[in-house]
Amino acid sequence: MICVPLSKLKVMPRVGSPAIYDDQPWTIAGMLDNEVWIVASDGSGRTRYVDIVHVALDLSEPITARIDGATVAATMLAEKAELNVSQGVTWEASRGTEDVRVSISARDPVGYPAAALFPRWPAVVFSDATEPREILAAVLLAALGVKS
Amino acid sequence: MDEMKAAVTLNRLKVDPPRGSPVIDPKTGRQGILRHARAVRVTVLWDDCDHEQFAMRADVALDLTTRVGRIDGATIAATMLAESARLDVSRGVTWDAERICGEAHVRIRDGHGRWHGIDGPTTGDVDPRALLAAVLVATLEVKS
Repeated sequence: MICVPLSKLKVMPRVGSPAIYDDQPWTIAGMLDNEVWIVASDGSGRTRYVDIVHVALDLSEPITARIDGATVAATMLAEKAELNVSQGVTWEASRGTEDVRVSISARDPVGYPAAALFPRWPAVVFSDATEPREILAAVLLAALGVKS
Repeated sequence: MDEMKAAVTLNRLKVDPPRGSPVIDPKTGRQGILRHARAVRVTVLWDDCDHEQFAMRADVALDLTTRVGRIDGATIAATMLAESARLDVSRGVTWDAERICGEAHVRIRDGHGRWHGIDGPTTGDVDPRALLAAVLVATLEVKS
């Protein structure tokens, strides 16, 4: 399971994003201060208001008909880079000897193809992650993580 | 733009959008997120209600317009088209739509640079999201 706790992010994912709560798949249906409104993905109809510290954005590859959390994360990074996300984004993860990077492709504000690289040079994100989604999660935390 | 032109009722599609997709009631403009799609009915969590409700497929539409703070339905639609074209959607997709000689055309590109062009119906719309909606229906429509 690849996920990023919402409490570690300074930008919240959008309504409809896949989430993990209590090791189960949920969907974010809304947010209110430090509480997240989530609905179960098992079809049971359960809804919960839970503290933000218990919920994580799910970046695992979706195995059922769920929105891909990696696309959500890549869109969050693209917005951070002020790219135009209205026509979608694509992403690619790479790793060096000790560090990892993610390249986001979308549009610039005028609408021309544009790309952004995270972390921005000369910053470095050290990580042992090898799987692309794990690298994306590490870079998301580095780029949008709350400084404690 | 007439936002209903950038919405597709679920009864017209043979492939359902994923859970969490933005939906709209075409008659009232009520917004929500899709929870479950079944053969005839779907469950929706409407923004003005704190529990899921059943609705007929014809009364719920995938919302392709931009809404602040929620997943973009156009990205969902582009991903559905990419999956139907067997592109790899695991690294995201981007899309372009234009009207050429009166016909809608959409081009989807996946994270590996592969792309797929799809021709749509003749239309008077010029808004990219309305064109995307028209092509989505033409590609994934329910054949009766």
